[in-house]
Amino acid sequence: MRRIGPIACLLLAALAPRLAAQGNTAEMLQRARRLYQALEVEQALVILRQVISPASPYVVSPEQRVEAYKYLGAALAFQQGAAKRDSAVTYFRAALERDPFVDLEPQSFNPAQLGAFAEAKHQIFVTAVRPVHVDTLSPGSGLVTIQTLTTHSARLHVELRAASGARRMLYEGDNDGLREVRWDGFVANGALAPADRYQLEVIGESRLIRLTDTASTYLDVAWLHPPLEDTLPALAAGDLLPEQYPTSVATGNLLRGLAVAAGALLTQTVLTSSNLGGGNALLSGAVAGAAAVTGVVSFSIRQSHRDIPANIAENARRRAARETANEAIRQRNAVILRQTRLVIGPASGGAR
Amino acid sequence: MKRTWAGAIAVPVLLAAVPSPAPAQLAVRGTGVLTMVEHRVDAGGGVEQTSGMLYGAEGTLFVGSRIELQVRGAAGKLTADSALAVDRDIAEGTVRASVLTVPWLALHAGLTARTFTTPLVRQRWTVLRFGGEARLAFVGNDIVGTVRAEILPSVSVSGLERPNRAFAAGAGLEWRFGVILLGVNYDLERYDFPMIAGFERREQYSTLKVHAGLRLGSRRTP
Repeated sequence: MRRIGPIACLLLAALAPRLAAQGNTAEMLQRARRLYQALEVEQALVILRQVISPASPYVVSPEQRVEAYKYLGAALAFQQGAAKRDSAVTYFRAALERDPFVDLEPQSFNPAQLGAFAEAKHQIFVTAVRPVHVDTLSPGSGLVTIQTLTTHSARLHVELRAASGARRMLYEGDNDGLREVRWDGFVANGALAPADRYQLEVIGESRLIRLTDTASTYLDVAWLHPPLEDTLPALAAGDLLPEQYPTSVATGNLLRGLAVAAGALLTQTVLTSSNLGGGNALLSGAVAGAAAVTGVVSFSIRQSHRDIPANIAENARRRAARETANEAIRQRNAVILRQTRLVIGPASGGAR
Repeated sequence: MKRTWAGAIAVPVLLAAVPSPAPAQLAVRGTGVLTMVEHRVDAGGGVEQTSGMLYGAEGTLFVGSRIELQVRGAAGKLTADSALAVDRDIAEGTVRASVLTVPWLALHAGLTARTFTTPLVRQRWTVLRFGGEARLAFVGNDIVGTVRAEILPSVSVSGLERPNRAFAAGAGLEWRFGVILLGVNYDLERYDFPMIAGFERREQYSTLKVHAGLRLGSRRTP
């Protein structure tokens, strides 16, 4: 803990000039705007040029730089002369190249300035899309708004593509300027958008110059619904009865028949009294013969017919019961999934 | 006499060792029995041999999955096959209780009463029997083979000394077609009597039984 204090002080000391510099840039921009609004255009231009100058001692954020270019363009367009107007267009282009969504509010700028800005937009062609904000969407009742833009008249394609292959064309047609595209949460086949990472790709083909530009942003879609019920796992080997007798069964039946035959013959030959002339082979032979024949026939039948119909039927019953249970679970899950809401938010990958 | 008492005690002990079943686990079996008999006796004057056919019936009550109570009765006529023998009528009855210690082995105790009647004399036999029967169920349970052995510890025969050695053995097969039963069994009983006046009497009773009948009830045993 004792070491953290000095380190924190050093970090704060290192960051302090940068924070102060940004603050100075903001003050310079504010001062330039006030001078511009007071029609002190030349003084405003001096300050704005200092802001965009590589020699500026202060850190200038991209947004501040865009702001500076915008006001440089506006200030120059306010002045008379073709050279000034050309410079204004150049600065407006610089602003648009850095932020295609930059715009001049018609109520704050005069027609000359708006004209120069429009010309800048005609000279360059940029397609852009704004990152999607986190939103929760109830499919079928809500819409997500996606802002796209072409700097001038163009053919615009806006398509959503998931890594899993799901896709949806959100817009395809002519466009000029800002376009808000709306998405209802479904993909092309009418299904709810699967939870996945999506690329929102915007392709613009200029109508004025032979240029095609693309922009893309990434968004994550997640499903929000009550927990789903697990379906029953597939029946394992241990869950099913054997549907065929093993080959040893036939041999076992043969041996049983022979054992009974041997029992009858041994009784008649070994246990009888020799003084009485032994036993009656006809009586024992009848049983021995029947047992031997039964053993052989059973052996033969079991070798050629190994199926166990009762087990086959029981396994079929078990499979059907599992399928019925799973179908019921699927139906219950379908009811739950109909309540699904989509949570849509920006993903890494950025936008241009 | 000691053997008789031992047997009389062993039967209830054997039955008491088995847990009592639920009332629903009852099954019955009834069969008609056709028995071919061959009876050989050597009483010192040579072998007397008679043979014939007995007609009878057998009923079995299955109690639970382990106990079987069996009653069998048969009667018929044996005709002389040798010069020394005389024709005789025969009637016999057997009661037997079995316990299945494991599905393939039944231990049993039983009592057989048998009467041979000739125009001159009636001889009554009473035989106490203990034994075991291995039941070899063929896969599918529709055929059951049996191999059995018994000791006959107490045998009383009217007019004769008790045999000093008596035993029985046999083998059989039963086919089951649903509730219908069909079976065949070979059995041998042998009695060796003590030596009297320099001669040992021997008797041998062989049978081939064919039975057919029905079995009703839920329980199915080997």
